[in-house]
Amino acid sequence: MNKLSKILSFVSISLLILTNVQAQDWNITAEQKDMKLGVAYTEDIQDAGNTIFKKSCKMCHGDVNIATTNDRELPLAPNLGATDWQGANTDGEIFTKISNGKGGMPPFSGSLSDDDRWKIVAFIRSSYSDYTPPVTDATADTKPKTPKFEGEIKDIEATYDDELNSFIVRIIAVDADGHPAKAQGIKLDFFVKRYFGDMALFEGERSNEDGEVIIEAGKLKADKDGNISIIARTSDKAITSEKTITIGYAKVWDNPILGRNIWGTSGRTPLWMLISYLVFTFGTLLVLGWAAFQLLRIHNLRER
Amino acid sequence: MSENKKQSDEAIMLKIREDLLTPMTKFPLSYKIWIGSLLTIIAVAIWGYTIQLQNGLGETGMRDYVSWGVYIASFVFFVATALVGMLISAVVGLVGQKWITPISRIAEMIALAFAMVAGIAIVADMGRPDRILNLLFHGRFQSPIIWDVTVVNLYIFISILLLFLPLLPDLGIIRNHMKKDLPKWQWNMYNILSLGWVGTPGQYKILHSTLRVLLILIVPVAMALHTVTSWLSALTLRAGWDSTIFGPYYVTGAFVAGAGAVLVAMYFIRKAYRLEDYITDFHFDKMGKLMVLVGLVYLYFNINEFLVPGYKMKAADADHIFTLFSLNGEYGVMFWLTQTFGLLLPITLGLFKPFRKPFPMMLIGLAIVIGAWFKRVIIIVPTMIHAYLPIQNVPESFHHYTPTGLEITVTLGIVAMAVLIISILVKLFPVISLWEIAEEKGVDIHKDL
Repeated sequence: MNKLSKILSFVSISLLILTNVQAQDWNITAEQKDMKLGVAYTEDIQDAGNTIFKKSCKMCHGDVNIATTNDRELPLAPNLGATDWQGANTDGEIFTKISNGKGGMPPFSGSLSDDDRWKIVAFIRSSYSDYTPPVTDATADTKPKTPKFEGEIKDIEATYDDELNSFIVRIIAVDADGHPAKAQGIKLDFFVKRYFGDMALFEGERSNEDGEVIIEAGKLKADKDGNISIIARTSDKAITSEKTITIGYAKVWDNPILGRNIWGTSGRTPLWMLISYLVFTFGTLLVLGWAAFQLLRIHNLRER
Repeated sequence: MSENKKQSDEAIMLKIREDLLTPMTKFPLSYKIWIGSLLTIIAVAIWGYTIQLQNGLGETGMRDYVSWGVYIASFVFFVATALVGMLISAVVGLVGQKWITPISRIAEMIALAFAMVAGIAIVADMGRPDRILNLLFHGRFQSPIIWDVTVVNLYIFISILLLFLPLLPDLGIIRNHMKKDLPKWQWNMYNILSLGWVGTPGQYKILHSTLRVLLILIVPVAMALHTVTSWLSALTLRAGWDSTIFGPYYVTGAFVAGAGAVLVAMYFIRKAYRLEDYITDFHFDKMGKLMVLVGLVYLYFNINEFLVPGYKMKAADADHIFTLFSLNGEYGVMFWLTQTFGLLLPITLGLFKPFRKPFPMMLIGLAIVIGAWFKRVIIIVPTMIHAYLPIQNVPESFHHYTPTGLEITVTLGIVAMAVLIISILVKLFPVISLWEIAEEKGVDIHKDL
């Protein structure tokens, strides 16, 4: 009886858990599935979507890396660049998933506007080559702001301009004929190397008509020799350039270990503490010595 | 008149000598059994300690997280109890309370004995006691540990002087009157120790002024001693130790523990030496009232210590407080037993006159002392289990602390050592100051004793 009831309760609890897990579903209606992309599918919109993605999605999903399937272990949130997933979901489905969330994924309908969520969809779609955007009036008359660069990117070069206090990231490219050309409209990333992860100064910034991106260095901290390590790359990661440049004077660093501080070694005791210790200890010992001397005086008085 | 006075003085002195010095010459069977059993405990403890020394601290229940166990708890307990010398002689004595005269030497003996064994508890806690001198060579003045070591030693010196100075006139009396009652070596010892005391006004003057200075000096030193001991814990960020009132919390707790120890010692010394004429019900009554007073102050600090973090319930503090306050918590039962029998009941019962009689006072004192020891365990150990970072990927034994039999044996050995020191001191020297009693009875002590 006891055994039976144990088995029964185990089975029923397992069933409860299973049904509960299965109950966790996206629950997307046919109507939602058929929704069309609510924004124009242009590079500007995709860029705007990228910005929102970085703020709201990247911390779980990571970068959108193009792959055939989501075969990575971590992070748990799937890689949205998996083409099988991209192919299986309509724009409306992705939009609804962002809006309503499921399990560990929060709903974004309250924190992001419809427009913003559609922009994210547009950004995600930008890394799916088989995607065909819905034909609307908006897409028809929207051309990319800059003509697409037709040449070949050879290298990328980053320099520091002392007077402007700026970094200049320049693309070295040749046009279709093999002549040096200025590559406009290429997306670039730029990082400063730090101990714990690289610090992005910009990501996905498009090069100007000179094939450059200029960014102010601000009050970047350099190391003790005034050096800084920078990484410049095209956003598609095809070309990366990494180097160390000198941006200023050596940073003067006060080593807190070297002063007379409470956390220092015994040789670096703060003076006030050393003095209080010595005053207290030797003061007490002095009184004790005086008391011992009184004993001697008592002894000397032994004969009247 | 002077002839009459002299005769009556001598009669009084004769009785005082008879009552207070005779126990020193007698070694009844009970005393021998008592000393023998203490020595046995110490011998077993030494045997246990050699095992620990050979195999390392793995023989104890201490592991990576709980690295302070009953040894350190005992150390804090010994230091706490040692503070009674300062409470009785200095604080109560300096405000002009005369009733402490027959108790003050007992308090000083307890103080000296417990201060001396406190250091032994620290050494027992060390994995490599052979490196103890590194403390002097590489110690940092910023660390409370070096202050603690310094102040403990200063306190021991002052305690020795405070015990020895008022003994001088008594030693003079023993030298003059006990030559035929004592073995030769013992009389010689008293003869040397008495420093040629004859009781001239000049000697008394020096004695009184020196005593007064030392009694004032011991107050800041004792406060520093226990405050620094509390800082060993309170200067960390750990839940349960991260407290601004730890100094006064420890000092007031020490007064309670010390008062309890004096009550117990008073009772047994009075019984063994038949000192009912000197340590009277009146003294137990007064000691009881003093115990209630310091108990109430300590209760006040207890409320502060637990209510304030308990109101805020910061995550780690909440964990800690649950462990102590909930009967389901790991230390819940110990905590409530300790607080009830070590503090709440003694205060409550001490308010009523029938409980301030010798026997009930002794029982209450015993409860206070045992409670005081467990309270130190509660202060030291649970905090170490509540680290801020989760304790993970460690053997099960790292999560909890249970002292091993060996650890308890060594601890008991140290306690026995303290009791042994007291037992020897009360046999070697008069437990009550003869000359102060005589002075109280109006005897002209400046005359030849």
